[in-house]
Amino acid sequence: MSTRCNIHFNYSDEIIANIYRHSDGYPDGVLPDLQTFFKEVKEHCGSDTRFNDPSYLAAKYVVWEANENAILEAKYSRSKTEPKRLAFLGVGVTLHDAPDGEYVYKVNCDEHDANGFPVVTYEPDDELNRDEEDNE
Amino acid sequence: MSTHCNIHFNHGQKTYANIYLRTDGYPDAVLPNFQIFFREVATQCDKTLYPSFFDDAPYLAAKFVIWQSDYNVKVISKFQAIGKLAIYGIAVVNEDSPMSEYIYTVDCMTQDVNGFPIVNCVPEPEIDEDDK
Repeated sequence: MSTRCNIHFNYSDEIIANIYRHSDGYPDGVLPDLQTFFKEVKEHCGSDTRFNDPSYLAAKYVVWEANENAILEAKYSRSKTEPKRLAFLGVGVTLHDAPDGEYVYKVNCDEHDANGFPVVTYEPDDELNRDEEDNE
Repeated sequence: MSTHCNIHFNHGQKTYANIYLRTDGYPDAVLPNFQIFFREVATQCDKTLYPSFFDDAPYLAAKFVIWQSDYNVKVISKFQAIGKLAIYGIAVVNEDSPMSEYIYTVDCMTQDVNGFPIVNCVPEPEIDEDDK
């Protein structure tokens, strides 16, 4: 559940925007989520997806995460009131990777797959691995 | 209308998050909007569950993206149909835009009398002599 990760929105290997995700940060959680997110961007934005703009795509991702949270809250909460979107703590905007992040994902906005979506790669966070090696 | 700005979410001098606004980045728009945003955050967040919602810069920056995007979509949807993710006015960045006319700092470490973070603007907004 609480696997933290960072998602870099890159262009030409340069990190343009960095988002911290607080839970479900393992590949089985993040990779399908990003594909769903890309599909929804395409649905909502038509031909103007701007998949090649990492800054705007990162902002869209923050909002998408909040939307998903609101859907879950509406489904499982006993409260009949509107979900409180600003109480959402699932993602943070950051300049640096979290020290407790287990994975780092790269959304490469200058490389697109057959669907026209940015190519996503990932690797375990090196810093965490270094700490584990130090402890051995 | 198209006054660009960057907003730094800081703890003191250290910046933890940076947001770019493409329009209405002048102080007369940004500063009052922040007060509305802070009030919304205070209303929506349960202090007993989340005691530190104003002193966490990365989470506050994410909340600001959500709030500003919701606001933009609400305004635009009055004139045309728009998807919830058709967001073009706000962006997450690691560096300031060269087009930005103002830089704001939201200092999550210092709070005003309402308990809201202190917001400063660089350059300082010019005060009209008549307004003094």
